[in-house]
Amino acid sequence: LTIHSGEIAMTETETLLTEAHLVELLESVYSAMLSLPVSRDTECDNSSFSGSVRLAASVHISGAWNGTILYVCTEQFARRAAAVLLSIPESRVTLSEVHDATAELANIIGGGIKSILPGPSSLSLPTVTHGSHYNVHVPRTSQLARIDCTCLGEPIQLRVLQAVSN
Amino acid sequence: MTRVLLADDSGTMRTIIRRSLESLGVASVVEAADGTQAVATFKPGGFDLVLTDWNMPGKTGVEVARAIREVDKKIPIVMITTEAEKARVLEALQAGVSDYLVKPFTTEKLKEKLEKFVQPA
Repeated sequence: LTIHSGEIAMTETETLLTEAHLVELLESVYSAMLSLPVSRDTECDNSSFSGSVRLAASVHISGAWNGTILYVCTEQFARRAAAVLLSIPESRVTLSEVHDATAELANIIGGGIKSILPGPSSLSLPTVTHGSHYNVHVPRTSQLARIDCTCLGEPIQLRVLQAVSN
Repeated sequence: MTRVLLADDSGTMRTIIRRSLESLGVASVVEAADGTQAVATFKPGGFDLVLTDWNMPGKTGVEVARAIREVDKKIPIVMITTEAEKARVLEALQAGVSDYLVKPFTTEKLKEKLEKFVQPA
């Protein structure tokens, strides 16, 4: 099995989850649910969020494949996305609605990733962390794939963290 | 008039689906925020259509479908979920789900699916 740059091989199942899969999935979700274009931005990294209040939504997959999907966006973008989903002005979107909309997007993205990975497996309910100056660390996982994108000029990050055996 | 029971733990998703139903002339939509509430709310003859998510607190959408099928063999149950694998779809159909829509969906796709089960106002 050949491992290419930007791809991680899961030799046990001979299934590949590529960064291209993640980009395609994110584009599909944003297009269908938000009618917004999203584009890969290789110049984005963790520093793109510095100084921003951000939301990190995670869903866990357990079963034939185990790990965590982490979806990160700025509060500003999350509010815009919630407004689009709810068809209301941004000024009317409550914090609870921002959290719920972000959680639902993470749920949809996580479900899409789960369908690419080996199954059968289950998807957890999403959780959302909101604030600034924090890092998300999922113990006993390693990063399988990651993409950095932008939408409406705001950074979006998607990470797939695979559980590692003890 | 079509009476709908809508079960999804995401208020955002319930709003999206309810708006689509309203655009089709459906005014009677009872919402449940989890599977347990959905089963407790359902009464045979009280609804014409059930729309349910899969992953919810309490009972899953599949458990909701099984519980409803015990008391109502005919009502259409549509699963609206991120669960896209073939095995999951089969599991849902075996539990009594009538139709299936995978998230993400466009508004047009959602309306197209709902139109199959909604009687004109």
